[in-house]
Amino acid sequence: MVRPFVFVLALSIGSAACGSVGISVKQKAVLSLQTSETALEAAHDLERALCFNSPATEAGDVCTNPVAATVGLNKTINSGKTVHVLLAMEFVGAFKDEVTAATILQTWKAGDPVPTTVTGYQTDITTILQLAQGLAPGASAFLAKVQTAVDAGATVAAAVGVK
Amino acid sequence: MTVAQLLVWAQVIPTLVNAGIATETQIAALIKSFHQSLTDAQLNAICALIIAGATKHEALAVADTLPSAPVA
Repeated sequence: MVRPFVFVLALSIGSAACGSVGISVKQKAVLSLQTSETALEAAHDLERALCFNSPATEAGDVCTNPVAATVGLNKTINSGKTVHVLLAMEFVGAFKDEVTAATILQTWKAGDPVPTTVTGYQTDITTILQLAQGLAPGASAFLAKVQTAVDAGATVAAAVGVK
Repeated sequence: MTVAQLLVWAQVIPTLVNAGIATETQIAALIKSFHQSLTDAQLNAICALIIAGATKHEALAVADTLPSAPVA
């Protein structure tokens, strides 16, 4: 009575463990990248909302929202650049790396070489996190989203085999 | 997982647990792994969404590195 069920269970576990190992690793990487991407987009939207009175229509290196000065986005900290501009530069790199990583992951399989852009992406978002940590508590929602992006980014890296 | 598949599992699970073949936790993990298993096509569609979103935000971020245009 029980033996058929043992067979079914063994067959099920076997197929899950062998046939779809590549898929599950890829799935973990893709879904984690999606989580990271969603959080990073939200973080970027929050940073722009802190910087601009009308983020939908404004852009550039000068913040127009008075809140920007309060949280520290106007502060000049490196090479004469404001935190807002430094963040924008890192966001450019992070989103560029995300595009490349997502493109590579479409054909990537478990056991393939680690996509180098995943490492680059981790570096970019870690720098964004460090900049966000230097802002005032008024930017705490922004910081939280960046932290989510970094955490999910670490899962992507682990899934594709970054040591 | 379809309703029909769920019903099959609902009949099988008590037998497996009572016979000591698998714990409920193990079975739950197994079912979850089936439920969450996505095809390559679905994963590639998610990748396409990531690419679209990241491309849009990359353009916005690039604009923020450039000198601001006067606000009308």
